[in-house]
Amino acid sequence: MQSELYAAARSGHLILTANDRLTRYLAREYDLAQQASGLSCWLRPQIFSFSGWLFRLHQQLPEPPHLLNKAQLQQVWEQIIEEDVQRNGNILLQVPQTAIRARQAHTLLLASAAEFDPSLSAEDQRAFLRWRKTWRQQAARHDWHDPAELPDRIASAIADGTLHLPEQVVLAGFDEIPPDLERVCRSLTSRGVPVSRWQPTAVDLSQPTRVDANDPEQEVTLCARWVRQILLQDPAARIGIVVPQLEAYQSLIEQIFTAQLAPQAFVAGEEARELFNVSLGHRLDDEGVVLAALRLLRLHRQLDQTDLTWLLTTPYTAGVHRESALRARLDRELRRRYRQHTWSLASLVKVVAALGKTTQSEVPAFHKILQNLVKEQQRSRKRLPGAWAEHFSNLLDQLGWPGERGLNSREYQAVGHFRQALTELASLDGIRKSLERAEAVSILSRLVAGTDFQPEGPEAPVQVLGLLESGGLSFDHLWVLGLHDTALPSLPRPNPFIPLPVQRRYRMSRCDAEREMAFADQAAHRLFSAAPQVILSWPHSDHGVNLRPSPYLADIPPDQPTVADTAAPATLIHDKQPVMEIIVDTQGPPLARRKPFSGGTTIIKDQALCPFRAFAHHRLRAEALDTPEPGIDNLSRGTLAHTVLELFWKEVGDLQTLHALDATQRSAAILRSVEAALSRLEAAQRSNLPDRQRQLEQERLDRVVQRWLTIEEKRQNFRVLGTEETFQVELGGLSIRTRIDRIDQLSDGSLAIIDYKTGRPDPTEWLTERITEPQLPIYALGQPRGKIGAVMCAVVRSRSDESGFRGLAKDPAAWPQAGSRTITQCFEEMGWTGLEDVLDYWQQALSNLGTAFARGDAVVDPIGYERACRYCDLTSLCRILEAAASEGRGGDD
Amino acid sequence: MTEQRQQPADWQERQRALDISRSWIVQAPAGSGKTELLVQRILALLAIAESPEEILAITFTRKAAAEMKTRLLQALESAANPQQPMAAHAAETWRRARKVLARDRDRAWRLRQNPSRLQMMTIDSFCALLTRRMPWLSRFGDPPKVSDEPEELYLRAAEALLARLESGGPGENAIAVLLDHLDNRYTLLRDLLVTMLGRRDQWLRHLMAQRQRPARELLESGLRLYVASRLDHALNVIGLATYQRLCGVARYAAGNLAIVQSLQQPLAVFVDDGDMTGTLAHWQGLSHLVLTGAGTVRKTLNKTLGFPADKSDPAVAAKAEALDILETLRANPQAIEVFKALRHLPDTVYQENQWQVLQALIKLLPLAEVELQNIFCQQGAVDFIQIAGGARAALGTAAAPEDLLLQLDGVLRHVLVDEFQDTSYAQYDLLRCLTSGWQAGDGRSLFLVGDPMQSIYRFREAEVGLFLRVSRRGLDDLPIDRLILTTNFRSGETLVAWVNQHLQDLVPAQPDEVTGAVPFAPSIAYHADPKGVAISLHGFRDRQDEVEAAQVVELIRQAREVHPSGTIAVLVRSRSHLLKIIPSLQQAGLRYQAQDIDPLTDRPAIQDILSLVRALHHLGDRVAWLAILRAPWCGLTLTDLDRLCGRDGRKTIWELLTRTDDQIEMFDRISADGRQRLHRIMPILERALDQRGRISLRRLIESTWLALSGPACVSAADMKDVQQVMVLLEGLDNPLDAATLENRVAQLFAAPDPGAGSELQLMTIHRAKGLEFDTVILPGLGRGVRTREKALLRWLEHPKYELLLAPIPSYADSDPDPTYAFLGHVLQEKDALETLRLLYVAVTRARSRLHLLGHVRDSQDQPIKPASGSLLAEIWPSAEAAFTAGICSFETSPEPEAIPLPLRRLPAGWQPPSLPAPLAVRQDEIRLASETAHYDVQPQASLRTEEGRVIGTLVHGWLERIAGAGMQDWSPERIRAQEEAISRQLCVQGVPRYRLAACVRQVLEGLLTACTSERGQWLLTQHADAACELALNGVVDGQMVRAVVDRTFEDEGIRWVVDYKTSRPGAGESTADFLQQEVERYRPQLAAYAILVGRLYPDRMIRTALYFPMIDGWIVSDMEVS
Ligand code: SF4
Repeated sequence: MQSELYAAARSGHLILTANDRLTRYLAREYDLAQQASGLSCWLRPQIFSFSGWLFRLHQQLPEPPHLLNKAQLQQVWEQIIEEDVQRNGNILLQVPQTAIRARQAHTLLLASAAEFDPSLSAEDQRAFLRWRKTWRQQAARHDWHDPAELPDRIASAIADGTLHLPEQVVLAGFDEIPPDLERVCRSLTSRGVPVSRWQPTAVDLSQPTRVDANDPEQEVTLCARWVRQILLQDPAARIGIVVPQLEAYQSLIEQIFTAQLAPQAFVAGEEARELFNVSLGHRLDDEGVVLAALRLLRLHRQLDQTDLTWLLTTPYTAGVHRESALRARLDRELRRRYRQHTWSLASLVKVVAALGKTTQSEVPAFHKILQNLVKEQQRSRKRLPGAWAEHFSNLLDQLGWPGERGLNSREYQAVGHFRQALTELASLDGIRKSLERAEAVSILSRLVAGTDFQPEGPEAPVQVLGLLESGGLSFDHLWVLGLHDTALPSLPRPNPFIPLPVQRRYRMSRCDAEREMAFADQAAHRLFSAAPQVILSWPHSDHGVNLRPSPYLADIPPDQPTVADTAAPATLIHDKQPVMEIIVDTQGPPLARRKPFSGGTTIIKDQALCPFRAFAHHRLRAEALDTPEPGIDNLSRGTLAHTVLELFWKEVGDLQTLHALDATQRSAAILRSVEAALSRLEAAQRSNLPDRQRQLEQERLDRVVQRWLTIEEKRQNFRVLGTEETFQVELGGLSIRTRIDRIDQLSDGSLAIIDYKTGRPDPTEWLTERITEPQLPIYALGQPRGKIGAVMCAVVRSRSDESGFRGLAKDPAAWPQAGSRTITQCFEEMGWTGLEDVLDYWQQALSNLGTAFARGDAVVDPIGYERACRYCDLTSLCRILEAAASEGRGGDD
Repeated sequence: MTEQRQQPADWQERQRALDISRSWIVQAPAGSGKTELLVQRILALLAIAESPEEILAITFTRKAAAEMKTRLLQALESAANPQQPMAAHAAETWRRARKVLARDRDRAWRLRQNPSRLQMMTIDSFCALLTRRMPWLSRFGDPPKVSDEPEELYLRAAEALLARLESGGPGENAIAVLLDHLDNRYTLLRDLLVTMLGRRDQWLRHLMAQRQRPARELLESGLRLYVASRLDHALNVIGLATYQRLCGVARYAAGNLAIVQSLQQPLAVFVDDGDMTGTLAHWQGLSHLVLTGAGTVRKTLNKTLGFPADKSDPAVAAKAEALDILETLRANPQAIEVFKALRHLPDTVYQENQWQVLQALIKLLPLAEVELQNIFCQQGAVDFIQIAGGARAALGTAAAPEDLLLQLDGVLRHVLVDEFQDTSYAQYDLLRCLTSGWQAGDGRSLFLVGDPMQSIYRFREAEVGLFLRVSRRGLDDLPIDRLILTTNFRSGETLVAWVNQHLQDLVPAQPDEVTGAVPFAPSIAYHADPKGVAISLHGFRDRQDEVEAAQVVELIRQAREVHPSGTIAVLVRSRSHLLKIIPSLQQAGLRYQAQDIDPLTDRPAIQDILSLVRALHHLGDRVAWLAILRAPWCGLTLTDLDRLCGRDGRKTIWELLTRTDDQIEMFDRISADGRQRLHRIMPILERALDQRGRISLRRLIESTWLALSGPACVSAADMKDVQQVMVLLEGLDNPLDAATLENRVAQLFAAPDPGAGSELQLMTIHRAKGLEFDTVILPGLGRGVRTREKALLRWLEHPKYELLLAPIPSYADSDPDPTYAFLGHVLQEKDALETLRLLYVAVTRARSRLHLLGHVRDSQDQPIKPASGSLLAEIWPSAEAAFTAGICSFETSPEPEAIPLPLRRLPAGWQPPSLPAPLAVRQDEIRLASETAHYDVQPQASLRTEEGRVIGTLVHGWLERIAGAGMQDWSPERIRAQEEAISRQLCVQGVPRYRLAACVRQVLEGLLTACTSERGQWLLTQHADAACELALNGVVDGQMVRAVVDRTFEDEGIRWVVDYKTSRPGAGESTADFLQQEVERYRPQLAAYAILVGRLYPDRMIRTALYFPMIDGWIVSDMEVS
């Protein structure tokens, strides 16, 4: 510590600093100096930040003003603005943020003791003046005070002699003396207290070094390796990294510094807080544990699938230890069986209980959580913020937050901060009336979002700082990062609520380019001599935009810093370059059992599309999680159409009966089937469709079936023999069980095998080398050979011009169908003469597929990327992309 | 080369452009050096400006803004050198920059030190600036952030809106109408709404206007007027006589058709029409009669058209008459065009159900916008449209222009806009506002530069018609004169001539604001042909991408031979057109730079990382779990996978791996190799599972990937790509769902090859705008594009007929919708023109060599033709001959035998490298003596514990104050009088209102007890050398310690060190037990205090004690220190 400051501290003089960081730094320096001088106990020096000191003094005032805390002030201003917006019949997108900006303007004006004339200002500023007037009225009424008023209160108390005065005052680390501090100092001097300024004296140094980097990433990497080099040589070195635009660099620095300085910790997912410290914190709601708390509080009434999955997978609730796997399984089942995009809590509780029973995977703790949430849903009356705060904390307890695994130090501190935010919410009792639940949650979320979280850790040798915080500190080595031309001087950011001329007159910070330049001059002057070794760097480009060096670098020639070898784990691991093993692995074990294998015709379809796909889907049971869609999804729509027709034909039976029905009877029959189909779907999903969607779907089905029947009417006489008949077939070594949509008996006694389709099927795919639409062929094989008269897709679509029969028939003319010409072509190509030939072919081809599956064939051999792979859920597992990549991109050189 | 000194042909135009007293719109074709012109104009303006902020230059991209700024600063830099440069244009710039430097000195701007004073930015940044400066007027308040993924916000808005269907609220019936219309496809409607929200800057103003007036009448009258005007035009072209003759024939034919009863016919209108003609239906009937489906005049007429093969006289005569008319029409191309156009005319009325749907949309879409506002509000994020809207609102409502002045840094006097042809309507509107009240000669000026032929951003709402509008009519009251530059400094004579020749005839000669037709302005080459100039066309019969790719490689080789140091660009319309070219280049060993070409989603290395994310995110994601077991870092065989999980489809993979009962058996089943592999990765996965939530998603995935030796399994290029995904993950902590992640990754592209120079570049034509290359190769010209998706609403703003609107056709019915189709047709026309412009941009990138490659379709019955919508189709009329002449056919090579995909994996015995040991650094711990916190204790959210802490702090504070001031001043009355102050303090610290009274009572109780009890008075009274809250630092047991002693004083030779505690005995606990427990608990702390105080008073006897003001409890810690 530099001697004059040390002496002042030892004499008990008051040292006022520019910020808390400098306070801590100086206090520590002092302690170390005392220790070094052999002392073992000493009085703590009088070092405070300006604001900290004001706050201490305020308690010594005879009548201390009632200061509002930050949360309270914020609420008051928000409400003032909100009311003003409403009174003006306007909208304002960002009220809370506007309140912050307006308060900042208020503080700026107080600090500069400035006022301005509404007639000389723009509408934005007149709005601000309105708000401020309201604030003043309310403050007077309730005896509220803003901490920004303190400097003048204290200044006059000092002038009055009401306060105990320090002997001497030293101002440390200020690049500029803020106007309010200046007024306080004037009072002090008027009472004979000497006030002096201190900055670390410039080190005698050679010129700073300039480093030009390609981009920020390279820049930070160089810097980190430079740090590594220094620390390897001198473990006691103190290194400063100053970054004018720290926010933009923060994450790069955290990543790269950890990787380079603590590679082992980096790979273990740990931090290296003992090595470097970044002065900028994180948003509290970026911490997993806090995020979880907020998310739990936000769950209410309705859960969409994303929420539900989160709730089932988060580690921050009760019972996770025992139930995590069960919950994951539950989620998979819920998605698969119920296909609900949004759940009401009430029905979810029921479904979870039922599902747990049927699948023997009960999740009592989760069930309890849901019940608690349901109970919560019933308590929705308004409350005061404090009551909500307490209520929330109890709810979180009930839900088992923060979970069963122990907290690490970072999480522990985050929980503490979260609790602090809850008390801030409670502190609004005097400010806000009763709130709705959602409002309370949203205020809490904002309080949390506004909380800067910097976990405390040991004092680190490397300090990464913004420009302002670096004042007054000195280092053995200093690197200033990111010195491009809009970083120093930076772009002005005037406060929009104060007219620019006023801001210029009072030289308010960041008001215009000249002001920025004056500040930059000061900062550059101080920084460039803040350590014996100073390195200044800038990136040539950032995200593809070319940058220019800061004007302060103009006269310094570029140079190369001395850096350590890279320690980045990614590079080291990559460089070890093993010889990769390349094996052929296209075969799984053959199927052991001979009993029917579950999966039905899809197995054959998959096998035809791609053997790997069949193996993965049906042997490994690898299937992507279903993603439910809002509304009635395509799958359900298809099922509904199926069901309606199934039920309708069950009732009506044959074409004659259909003809015999008059229009009303027919409509009634359709309606009955539609109604029954909808109910069946609802029963399966254990919840009713929403009213209007149900209504619309009912009308749609009605329309579709009406139109469909006009097509069936054109057929020759038939009788529906059966619907949804189950049967079993042997295909090669594989036996599968499946169900036929419908079998008709035609007028000549032959059978028509019919499959309903709501898409656009292409029967020519039955006739190709690999049968990628094998349902109907399989069904056909399950029927007595000679009796088959037709194999047909019934294409049931909403538009009648797209609907009809497609397939093969002994007597094609009897079927109102489209697109049979191509089939005739196939027949010619294959030299077939009739259905019999086709059936022979099917027998052969399907058996081959069945045998291949039973054998365990699993070669990655899709029938074509578009047809097989584009909508396949296994791309990541089969690694088909490697085929494309090895073609698309060469080796390593 | 002597030509360098010669003035360009259009030098006078260029001089005029620097006349800063006037406003200009400059049409600057490719290669005309517009950036230089802009820089010169800015210099001219700066030389007389009061402050640099008076001048605003708006560019199209941030990159362009940065470049312009750099050019300007370079000009100033070189002007600092007193030596005038030789080259003419450089000298001009130098002279102007000198004047600026003089001004800079005069006004102390220090521009070169503070270049941020130069206002050069994109329109988006400018809008953002305006909203930042005008928080109230823009209705934003403090500026929201601009979302990178606005689609996600639109989606939420659309879903919120659709939820009204069930929950009720305005618009619910409109939703039902639309759903019914769309065959009850909920997600379809949602997605259509999302698309509409992304373009609301275009329809919102129209729809809001529709809500205020009798919409149907006005809209239909627009349609009627439009159709009427087209019919008038038709009649003009065809002539009344011919028309009437045609009608006669049609009536005859219709009569015949009526007999055979096919009245669904276009000619039906002629049946019994009582000679009433001239309606749209009549005209369309005639068009049907005249033209074949392919749009040529019919040569024969048969019975389906109403001309039966009847030998009767009237029949023969009628047919002859008809054929005669057709013969005359065949010779009249204009008439053919007219009949063609008639097919695409809209209906003049809305059908009832159409109108219902339209009405529903007029109601619903604005509501969707309101929902979007809510979402913006909740998220604190908006899209660029909103920013522009906010800026526009702020400008539009500012009471007076002076308001604007107060908010900006200086008076805005000059605005320059680059790439004006790509301006959207919203931007145009903003510009109008910004310059409202400006007049000719008032010292303010507008300077718009662009090339309507290079307007290629229609998909981002660029509206080239605006360029035409402004060059014709100026901007409101501000007259703007038009300058046309003609000199091309980029391409040599041959190329310029080729472009002139081929495009001149293709572009419509008449400008049209509606379709964006821009007449072509030919250029004049400044440079003679460079060496090795070449233009070649390569036609292919049928598409075979491999062959085209081989040709591209060959052309690159040739270009390298002719001009080894020249730059080559392969430009394509869509990056998928490079799919086959990239592998060919690699096989040929050619390295290239490609930006935003190669999507990362398709990289196995990236897929592996996504699997890792999904697996750690969800134990039940079986595909992901199996994928990470099969990935190169583990590489389990199919057999082992089957053994692991083939028997159990329900359990999660992690259960199967770790639950002991199964595990032992399972590990027996799988191979030794598999066991070894699993044992390597399982501890890593276990750790990762435990770290979920504790560290950021990025750190979780990155560290796990490193630990799994991911980097050892990938190529150097992959390493960069992985890095990009990691950066993406960083922003994705909350909330993560697989779909979002995949969408985001789908927008990432492989980083350009850092080792490749800029000599060979691959990019899209859009990206190449503004760049130039020696050789330009354009493959894939024969490929078409996907057709436009149907939008919920189509609209056309017509200068004469206002707004033409049509709702989406039904999904449940197959009825045609001519109005919707008509608007689609106009859009198609616009697309076709834009395609042509795209081609212009592509060919004008070349300095000396240009190669066009494309395939044509060759079917037996039709002449060879490129696919419609392809670039080749656009120049086909003028390039057909050249293409067909050089067309080459080829044999299709047989597909090579597929080799099965091998499994790549780390060797079983792989050991990751050992990483450098942790750095040893000096660590000085400072401990707080009162530090007891330990995080192994499970914290609770409960606030009651917090309350105790607050009460404690307050009691401490007050006791300090009381003792400090002297306790004789503090009567119980005075203490009680502090109730209000205490209550407020508690409130500020977060004690809820209903607990206040109780807490105040406790504080008061503590204070009163302390001040009235004997012990308390003894403690607080003024002793010798007393202190409260004494802050001491020192070294205890070799460790630095900081302590605060609540109270210390001397009494009877003993130095007392007292700590206050506000705790009290629990229910049923005896005071004595309680005190004993507390003293045990705080003994270490008291010991540290005693040591420190003992050092200050080395010769005193020290005694430490705890005092409990709440219960007047007192216990001395009997440890004594010397
Ligand atoms: S993605 Fe293609 S190759 Fe992979 S399993 Fe699916 S179908 Fe087969």
